[in-house]
Amino acid sequence: MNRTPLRKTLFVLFLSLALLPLASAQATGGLISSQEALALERSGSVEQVQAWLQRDEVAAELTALGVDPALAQARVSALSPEEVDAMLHRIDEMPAGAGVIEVLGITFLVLIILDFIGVINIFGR
Amino acid sequence: MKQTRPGPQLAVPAFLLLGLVLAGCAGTGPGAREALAPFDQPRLLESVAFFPQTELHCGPAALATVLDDSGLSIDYPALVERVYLPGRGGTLQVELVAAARSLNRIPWVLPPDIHAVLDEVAAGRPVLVLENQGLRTRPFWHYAVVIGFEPDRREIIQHSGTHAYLAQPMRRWLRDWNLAGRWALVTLPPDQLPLAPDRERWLQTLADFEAVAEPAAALSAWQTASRRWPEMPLAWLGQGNSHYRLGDTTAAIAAFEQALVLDPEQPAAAFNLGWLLLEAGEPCAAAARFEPLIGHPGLGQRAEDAWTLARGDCRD
Repeated sequence: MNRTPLRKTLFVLFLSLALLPLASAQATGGLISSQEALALERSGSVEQVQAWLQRDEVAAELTALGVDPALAQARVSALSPEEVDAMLHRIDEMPAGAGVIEVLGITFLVLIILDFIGVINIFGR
Repeated sequence: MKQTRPGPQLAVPAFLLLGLVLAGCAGTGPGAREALAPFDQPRLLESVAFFPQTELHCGPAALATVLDDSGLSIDYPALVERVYLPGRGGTLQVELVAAARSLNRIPWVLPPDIHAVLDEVAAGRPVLVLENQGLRTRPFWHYAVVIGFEPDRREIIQHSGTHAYLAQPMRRWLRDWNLAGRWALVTLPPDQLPLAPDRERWLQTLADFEAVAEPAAALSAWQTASRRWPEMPLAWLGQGNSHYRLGDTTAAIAAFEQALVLDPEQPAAAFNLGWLLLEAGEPCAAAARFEPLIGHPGLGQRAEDAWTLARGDCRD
């Protein structure tokens, strides 16, 4: 039977394509990724691992915050599912470390102190 | 947080007042003396290169510092592009973590404990930290890298912003670090473990690493984990997945089989082994692997589809 290997290859190919949306971000083919295996073990479901739409949303958010669209995709693809979820729901509350020049920092601190003890009111409480 | 609004008649010096408020905010972590108590010698990681920050780029600068120390050669402008978020004027913690991953370094967030930080430094690893130099309600976020400490002088030493080897009173630093949620990060080459890895959290860290890093790096990480916890089936599953991505089917099959020796019920290992058997032209053996997984709550349809395929080719 010469046809069998070809048919099998086609079938595997077909199934791989059919299962593509279920596969992990990396090229693990039809295999279950370790992320999915862990999600199965811990929550009984691989749903969060496969939440592709969420990643697109976060990429759009990064683009809106000034990141080049292609780079935004790359940045989002390096996030874990938990991180994607956190970005999606709490990005505005997340600390963005900037580390201004010290003089600025000290000035700011003095302003905070003055504001706090009621000498000035620049922060509009 | 206990805090009374000071009346105008209250003649307390502003700095004393501020000190009280900050102490109130900082919660109940160990004090400076307690933090340094386990150490009787000063420590300074002199070889850690300094990347002075430019503009608002303390995130990329701090990340460059720890990545460089872990053996990477640093393309600083690329790193800025990778983690700086213009709309926020800074860098998010999750993106530092993600960037390390994509450069084949394992990002390990330390337990929120000053001793975990100082232990890593004492062991020779620089630690990236988040500080809040403002107030809880008006935060001022900053990343720096801890590279040493002086127990006698109660000082901590960092590469921070535009300052190399910046020594700071431990007390003040602890305040900033406590206010930032005691967040600390090390970036590890794939063949290393942190000092005190919690097994379950390390497993998740490596699973997330596998999804992003190059297969060879992921393989090395899983092999290291297997040496530490030989009884852990998922470390063998991870090895199998990495071998497969590297094109080594034989090694992948052996790894999945080892995972099943450790846990005959491991569904992912059984499925993946079946899949490789199918690809290797053994549909009957593959079908036998898939069959028990049909009806598995998390894998049901996927297992059934694979079984149908394998079954169709099996002539036994």
